[in-house]
Amino acid sequence: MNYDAIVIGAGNGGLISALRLQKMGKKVLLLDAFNMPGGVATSFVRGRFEFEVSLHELCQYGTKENKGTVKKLFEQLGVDDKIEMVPLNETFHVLTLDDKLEYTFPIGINEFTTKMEEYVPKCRESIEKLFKLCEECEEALKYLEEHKEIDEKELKEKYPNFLVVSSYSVDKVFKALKIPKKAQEILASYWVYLGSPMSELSFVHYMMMVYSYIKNQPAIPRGRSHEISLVLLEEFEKLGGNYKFLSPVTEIIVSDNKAKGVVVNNEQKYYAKVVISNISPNVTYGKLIKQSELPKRAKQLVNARTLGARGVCVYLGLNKSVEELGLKNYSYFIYHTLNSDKEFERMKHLKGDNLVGVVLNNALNDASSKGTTILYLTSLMFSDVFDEVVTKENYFDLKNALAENMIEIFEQATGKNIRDAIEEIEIATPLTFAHYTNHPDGVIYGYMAKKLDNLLPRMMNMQNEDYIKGLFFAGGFGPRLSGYSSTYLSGDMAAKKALNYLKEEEK
Amino acid sequence: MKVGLNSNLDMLKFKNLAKEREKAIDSSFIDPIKYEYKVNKLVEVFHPKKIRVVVDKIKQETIDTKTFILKSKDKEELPPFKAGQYIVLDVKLNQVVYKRPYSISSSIKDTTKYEITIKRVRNGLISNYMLNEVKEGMEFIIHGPFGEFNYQPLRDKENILALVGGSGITPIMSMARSIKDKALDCNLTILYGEKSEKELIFKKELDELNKNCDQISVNYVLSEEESNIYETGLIDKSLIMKYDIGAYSYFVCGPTMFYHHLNNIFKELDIPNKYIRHDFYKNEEPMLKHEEHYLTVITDDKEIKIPCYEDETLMEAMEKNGIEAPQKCLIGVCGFCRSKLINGKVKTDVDYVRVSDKNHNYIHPCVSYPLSDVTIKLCK
Ligand SMILES: Cc1cc2nc3c(=O)[nH]c(=O)nc-3n(C[C@H](O)[C@H](O)[C@H](O)COP(=O)(O)OP(=O)(O)OC[C@H]3O[C@@H](n4cnc5c(N)ncnc54)[C@H](O)[C@@H]3O)c2cc1C
Repeated sequence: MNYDAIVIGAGNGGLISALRLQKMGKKVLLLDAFNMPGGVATSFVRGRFEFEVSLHELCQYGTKENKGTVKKLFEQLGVDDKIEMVPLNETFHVLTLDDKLEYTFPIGINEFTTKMEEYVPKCRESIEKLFKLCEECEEALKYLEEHKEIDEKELKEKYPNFLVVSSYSVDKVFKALKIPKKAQEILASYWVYLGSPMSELSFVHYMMMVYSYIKNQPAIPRGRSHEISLVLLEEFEKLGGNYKFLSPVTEIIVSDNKAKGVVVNNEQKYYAKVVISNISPNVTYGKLIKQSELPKRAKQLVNARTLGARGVCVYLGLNKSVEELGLKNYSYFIYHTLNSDKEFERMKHLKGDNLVGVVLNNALNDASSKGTTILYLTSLMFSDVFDEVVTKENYFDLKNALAENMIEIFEQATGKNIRDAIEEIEIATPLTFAHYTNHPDGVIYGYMAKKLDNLLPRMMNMQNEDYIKGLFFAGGFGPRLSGYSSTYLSGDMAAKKALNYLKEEEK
Repeated sequence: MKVGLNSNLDMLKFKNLAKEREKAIDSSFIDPIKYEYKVNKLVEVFHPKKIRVVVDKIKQETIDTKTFILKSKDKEELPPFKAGQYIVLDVKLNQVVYKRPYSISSSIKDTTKYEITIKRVRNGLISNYMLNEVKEGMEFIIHGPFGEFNYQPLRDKENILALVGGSGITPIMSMARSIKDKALDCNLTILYGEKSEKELIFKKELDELNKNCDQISVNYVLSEEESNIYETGLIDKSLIMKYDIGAYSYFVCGPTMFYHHLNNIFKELDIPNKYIRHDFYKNEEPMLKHEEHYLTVITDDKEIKIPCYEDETLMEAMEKNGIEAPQKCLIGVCGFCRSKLINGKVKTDVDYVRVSDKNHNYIHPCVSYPLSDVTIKLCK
């Protein structure tokens, strides 16, 4: 069978790539090893609860009046009105275990700034400056994305401050802006979402996420992320797209440095001019392509990078209402301290004791039946320490021990009893994520965002890193890094690259 | 605006980001690319795609029941499992691959073998084949282990009251054996309902466990036989009330009817969901008396039209007609058979379908009965 494009993996990146290409009139085949769309953007049912696998908040969605890039993308693809999105009313809520601090922030730049001034008097000026800078960075990034050839003079004239901060880490810029120490630490609360500490994370990258959470209201779909994945797939199908599930790609056919097609399940061959990979370059290059066909630089790129966060998730169905439990917030960022560098080191160990809790019913009041609550606890690890500890023999006990520790930490930080209300519990570890995504070491955040693997250097080199003609990457390992909005946008970028390539091939 | 960083080098530094990145790539090593970690290798151990097994031994348990001891054909050991989990057995009969879930009845301590125990179902195609035709040395493909019918200390009471109907004893037997082997730590009281004494499976071993293992106690409840030693009648409200309500988690395992019967009792006794776990199975073959409809199945770019009766599930109809659909649990819980209902009406009384799947007309064919002609699309 011949296609214009084959997409490997129906995760967020793959779904958007496939839909965009199909919408542009191309003949697309979407393949996934699993029997559902979405990758980790999915849900599962236990007893009377439907659990979200991964989404806490969808960044860059926004509202009708204040549309974020993801909402605009969904509108372009004709799916926005088919998904019911529910806006979230707080940005973050952080608690510390060591000195029992607690901060909660509202949505909106002004509201956020006012709240920060309440917590940290006299910080207003620096925070306002910070958000101004963010606004400039946002425009600069848009400019960079829209212009293939950069006019240095124009860039310098229009976005001088962006250029100043573009190569610095978050902590350096915060200091330069003279943001009070305490406010700096509070602002850093979101760091786990990107999985690197303030000294490693690029300012532009980190603050673009934080700024977007504060400015464009984040949201979640009513039917869990599965609703989005399902709608994307159905739209793709409606436009004539072909998909096959339970169809793991076992080889990408490459010859003369060009992608030619794929082999599914070691037997069935499908041909296409373009292949988009929604999976890791490690597996794409290391396993799916004949090593003799692989440019040396492709291998070097993979080996130059560090895998990002691994995670343990505990999904809890509780038989009490949020009122009975005394849980008022949607999100609970729980750390020992607010020093991200210290906490990052701590989280190289198995029981890092830091976690993010999400109380789904505080965003969707009908998330589960009356008198019950859905609570997720997620704890990240920044090394392959899980590998060192896990064995065939201890795995089940290890899983429970990790979950028990996380439940205790949550109880300790909030002072609430969770344990006695557990009606359903499911625990996911790096092994679980490795099982469902096939990603190396079961990482959930792609590559680590550090130094030269931060957003800007990735984006700036994006055009130079397609080492095999006709093979493009979408998803969490891609140029925009991991996260829902990033993977959706990277899926679209990959599709656009593919369209250009197809056009040139036709000539 | 003044940021307060050294701005002289800004353009250079910015442009250098790309160059520096290139340099870092240049200086990185070439071979090998690491794509597989220990965790990825363990995935193969815990979740192999399929397992080839040999029937190592067959034990006659009762007139109507046999235990099949399965060993891996290729490896020393089978995947680790939790007591209460099941495997899916592929049985090829007349060119059709039938898939049937069977609970593992052996202890979790010994993963060199899985034991599955199969009772004859009247007119049951697969159970009769297994009991009549299968001999030691024969080979099968199995999948799994799967299932959430397990003791979970973070959730359950440490005292389990197992309410068992008929061959529902198999997963509970795995729990009991694992407790005896000190591989599982909880207290297990079993109420084992069966028609008559001679139909009780594992009776000798259960009697021994009852006598010798402090953590296990076993009581039989015979429904079609008078007895001076054992309880008689059905497992009912008064019997359950003999055990201190509030001290137990209830593990129910038996045929669908049995499960519904107990659910009503739990409601009357106001026992919270949290303390009720269940595993159930369908124990009758359809009668095929009712109205005939047509089922159109869209799969692999083909449309296949087959007859489907009102009292058989869509899955049963597909299976009989040799259409291979994804399936695992056959009781609507695992969702593996999730398919899109394109048109027609179906009836189902088990509801584990995701909210948005429901809104988009997805169903679980293994528990869906046709009420009209029906068209579905398989997700594969
Ligand atoms: C617990 C958790 C919480 C998270 N929270 C948030 C959050 O709140 N906000 C946010 O923005 N992001 C969050 N993320 C990150 C976000 O979920 C991911 O970045 C994003 O979903 C990844 O999408 P992807 O396109 O990379 O595809 P993936 O989801 O990684 O999917 C890859 C797909 O490829 C398939 N596949 C693999 N190998 C093959 C093969 N050989 N052949 C065919 N198919 C194959 C897999 O089956 C899978 O479907 C979270 C992630 C996790 C795990």
